[in-house]
Amino acid sequence: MSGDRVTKVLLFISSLTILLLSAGIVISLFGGALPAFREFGFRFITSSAWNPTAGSEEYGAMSFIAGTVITSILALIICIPMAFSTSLFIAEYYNGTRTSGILRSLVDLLAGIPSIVYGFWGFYALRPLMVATGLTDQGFGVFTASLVLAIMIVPYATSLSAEIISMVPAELKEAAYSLGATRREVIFSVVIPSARSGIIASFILALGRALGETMAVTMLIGNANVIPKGLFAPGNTMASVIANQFGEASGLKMSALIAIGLLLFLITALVNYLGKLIIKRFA
Amino acid sequence: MTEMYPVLTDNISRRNRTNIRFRYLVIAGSVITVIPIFLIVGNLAVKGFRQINLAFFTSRLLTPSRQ
Repeated sequence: MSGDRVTKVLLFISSLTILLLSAGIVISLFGGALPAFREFGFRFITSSAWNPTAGSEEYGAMSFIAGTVITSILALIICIPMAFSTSLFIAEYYNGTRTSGILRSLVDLLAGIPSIVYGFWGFYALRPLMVATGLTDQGFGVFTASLVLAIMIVPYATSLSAEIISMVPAELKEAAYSLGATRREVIFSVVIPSARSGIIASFILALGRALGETMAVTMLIGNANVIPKGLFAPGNTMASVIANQFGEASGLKMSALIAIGLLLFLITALVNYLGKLIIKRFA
Repeated sequence: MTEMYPVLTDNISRRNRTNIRFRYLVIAGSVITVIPIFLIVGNLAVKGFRQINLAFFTSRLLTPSRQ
């Protein structure tokens, strides 16, 4: 067999393995979630009940879906100005300079910090600050979790955005400069329109990361199995409830947790699909 | 024509002022982004550095009741 053919076969097997792994995950999640869906039907998604008492067990995912969506979107809203300005700083204002290199390294360092360390920092440093402001009694809540989540997703959005912004052809920018445009005008009339799809993709990637984040959120959100009543109220996310209750779960409760995992998987897939649609629309 | 090419219109000083303000905004945003790194690393260093010694790496960690 020629070298080319061997490489082709190896690549095919690798790709097939990834596909089979993904299919296996979905099938096992679906299999595990079936008892919960059979017992509660569509009510599992719309109900926010969470009662593990034997004999009157009732499980619903709505409060966790709401917690996940609210914290992730709030984190994205906080992240966008930070990531956008940092990517402009790195790729446009100080591109190729030492300052840009230092900032890029610092942002990459943020991506390298384990999520449990973010959780620790949020718990011991940020939470007391939230208590001091008087907005929450114990410092736990959707806003505290979202703030830490935003800091966690900034590197992902920044790195990709900066990469895309730096790829905008210099000729386009020079043409605008030659017409007398200022740097801000070049950014808004040339750079952003050219890099729009990539920038949106970077924020969708960051949103995907936020949706699945577990440890830091678990430590800060308050772990109350209710739909959050406000920004500073406690709640729970899909990933957090799985992490918190998986160890002691069995039977129908285990099935409910697996069903939540399946829903999280579907929501993440939906976000990615919407992202692709948006990218296609703007490309 | 002027509506199609806004970069060619308006007075220069106002555009320059906006340009400078935007530059400061970008710098401020970038500084805000990196502040958490220093806060996190500083917090870990202050709280954790005192606990690091040779025994920390060589002894078994026991629960307070078994110490």
